[in-house]
Amino acid sequence: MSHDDAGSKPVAPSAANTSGEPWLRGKHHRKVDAMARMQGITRYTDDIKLPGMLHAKIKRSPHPHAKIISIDASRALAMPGVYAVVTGKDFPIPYGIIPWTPDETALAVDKALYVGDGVAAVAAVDEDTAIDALAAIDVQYEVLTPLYDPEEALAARDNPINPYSKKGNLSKKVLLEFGDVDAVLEGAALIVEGDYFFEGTTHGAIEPHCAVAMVERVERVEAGGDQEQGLLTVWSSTQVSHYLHRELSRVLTMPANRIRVIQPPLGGAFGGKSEPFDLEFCVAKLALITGRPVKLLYTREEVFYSHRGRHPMKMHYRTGFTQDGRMLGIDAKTFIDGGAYSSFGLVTTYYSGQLLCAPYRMDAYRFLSKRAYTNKPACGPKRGHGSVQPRFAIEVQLDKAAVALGLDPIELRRRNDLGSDTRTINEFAIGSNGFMECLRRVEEASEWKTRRPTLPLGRGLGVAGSTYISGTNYPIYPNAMPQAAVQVCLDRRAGRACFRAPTISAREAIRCWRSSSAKSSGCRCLIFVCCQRTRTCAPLTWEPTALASRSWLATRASMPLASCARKSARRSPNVGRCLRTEWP
Amino acid sequence: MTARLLRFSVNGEPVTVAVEPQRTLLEVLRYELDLIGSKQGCDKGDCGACTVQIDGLPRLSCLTLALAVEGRDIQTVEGLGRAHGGCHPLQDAMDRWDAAQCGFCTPGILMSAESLLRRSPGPVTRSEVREALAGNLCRCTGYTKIIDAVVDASEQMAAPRDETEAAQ
Repeated sequence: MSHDDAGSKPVAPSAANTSGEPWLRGKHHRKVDAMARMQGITRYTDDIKLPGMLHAKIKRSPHPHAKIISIDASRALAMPGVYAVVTGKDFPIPYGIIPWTPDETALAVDKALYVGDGVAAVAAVDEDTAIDALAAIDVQYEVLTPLYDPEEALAARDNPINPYSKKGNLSKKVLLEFGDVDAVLEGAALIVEGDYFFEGTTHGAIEPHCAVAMVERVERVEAGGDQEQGLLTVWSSTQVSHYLHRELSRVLTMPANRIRVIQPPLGGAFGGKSEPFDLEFCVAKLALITGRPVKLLYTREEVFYSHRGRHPMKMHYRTGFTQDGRMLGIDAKTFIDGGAYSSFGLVTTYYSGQLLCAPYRMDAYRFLSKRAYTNKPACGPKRGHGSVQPRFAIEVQLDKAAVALGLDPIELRRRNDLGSDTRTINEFAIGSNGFMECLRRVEEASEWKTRRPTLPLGRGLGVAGSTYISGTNYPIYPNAMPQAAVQVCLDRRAGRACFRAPTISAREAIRCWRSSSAKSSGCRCLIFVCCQRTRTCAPLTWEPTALASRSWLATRASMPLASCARKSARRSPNVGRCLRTEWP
Repeated sequence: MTARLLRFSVNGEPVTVAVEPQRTLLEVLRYELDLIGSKQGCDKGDCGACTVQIDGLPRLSCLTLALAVEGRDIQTVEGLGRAHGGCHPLQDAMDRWDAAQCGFCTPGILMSAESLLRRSPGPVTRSEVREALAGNLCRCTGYTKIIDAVVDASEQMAAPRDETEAAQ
């Protein structure tokens, strides 16, 4: 809601906690790290500068679908200031954020799948030299027929885009039915049927992706270890330091305990940095080859090539209503345009149907969603992952039903109240439910009844409801580790040091920790905080940028500390949920 | 290309640096002078994250060739709090209003907003703030809290609030 110049002045929040005031639960607190960000002190990934650092760039395919016949980097390698060139053949092991769909490689191995697919990377003394070197890498392509439309792609079974796809261009299909949809639609007084198309969006975080890699040689020869490879540290503007850690180990065939992933503060992400990207593998490989630190910063254009934005969806919906506006059932068919890789597509395909069953009640529901590979940048998760597109379709259908039945749109939604302490048709447990209260307040604040009929042509008031799941607490790689953790360490003077996980989504966890540790008189050392929104579990050292990955935490955590934290958690049961305090 | 010596002033201090003619002011600030507060978001003049002040006026440093600022006075976010004990009233207001989430666009917003406040005799209106920040994109926070904070800061600077009274 906008505040007009003439309108009432908003009230300034309390200035509490500027210095030394205790952190208390339930009080307004300033963000723990905002002031450093505003003073220009915070070091984001591109602010890292290491001695001897090289700069890397990625050569990208100009064709949407093309076989790579040959890559000749000899001219580039002969240029002064060029240190190394890598191609897809240097790391051919496929990976993927979802463990069941590893279908992308760091650089294209045999085929480029979209305009912008990486085919080679170069490390040079500076960015300009690297850009010049890219032009000197000769790539011979055999151009193949591109497929852009998901339905066309699915029909072209003999022209599979992704080399790892198992069923033509079908990336994922989900068909689920709850109740007898055909029967309830048969008996409906009103059927609303329509096609809806959502075109796709990208995240547009202001910080472009960036990664820096550094290799430290070690002299010590360990049994079974590879002393030649040394210790690899990768700083990356990623939301998923642990998954990146895991995939680096897999693709570079390096033991995980030789790799450290550090996540500096992020300049926005919104899901757009929540899986490994080509730049992280490239800087790591180039650092291993050259022995020098390597940085790669995407241009804004490359951010769009990496994409992983909200999926375009073609949706066909049939919804049945009774004469008094009660929703009986939905029959939904959805084509999802996935782009060249799976990304989170398996999840998106489920979400495109599963998240529709609240906040309205229905007797039956069926959805058939098919995600197709196309010759476009891969789509992935974006805020409200998978639920926004179907929500647009169903809310339009509700409005059409309201018009057909002569009902007020808010009233129609009220008549389909799901209620609290119940289950949705697809078995999601609903505890409390504030949707009716939301509707009431929206109706009041918008002056719905008085303003809506009087607005001029081109102006309107609309209403839509939505819902999202939380607390599923399911890690992508099933394991017994906590989803997020804060490790607290006592030094000899009983000072506290906190190893924490400040991803954007984990900031609330930090605030929670500061608030709760303030309350916890009697125990100086606390607290494992769990934040279900957070997929990382990373300790922060007191280096300004340091956020290391789980394997490092595991080697640092000691049993006495774990048992101390366990006792603390027992003493103060309300200070964050303690999932697990010892490390397996 | 041959580097040339460039002399200018950054946050009141004289600077001499060897610069190739194709370098932007943003590149020189960030990578030569290590003033990392100014950010590169798009490098093409769309996002405003690189906004600095040249002779007191907000300018996009990614579209300014470094050699074009010979002899000029550049202010970056690093110098913003200097006359205010490290924290400019704008930074304090943005902090209180929760107006910086990821903080990546914030330095540019601060430089645009500070220029507005310095040129305005009294408190500014919301529409003046909107106009002044039209060239700065934010993707996390949303603009409402940012506008709230700038208006609040302008009122504080016009008539400093008595904090002891406010606390009661």
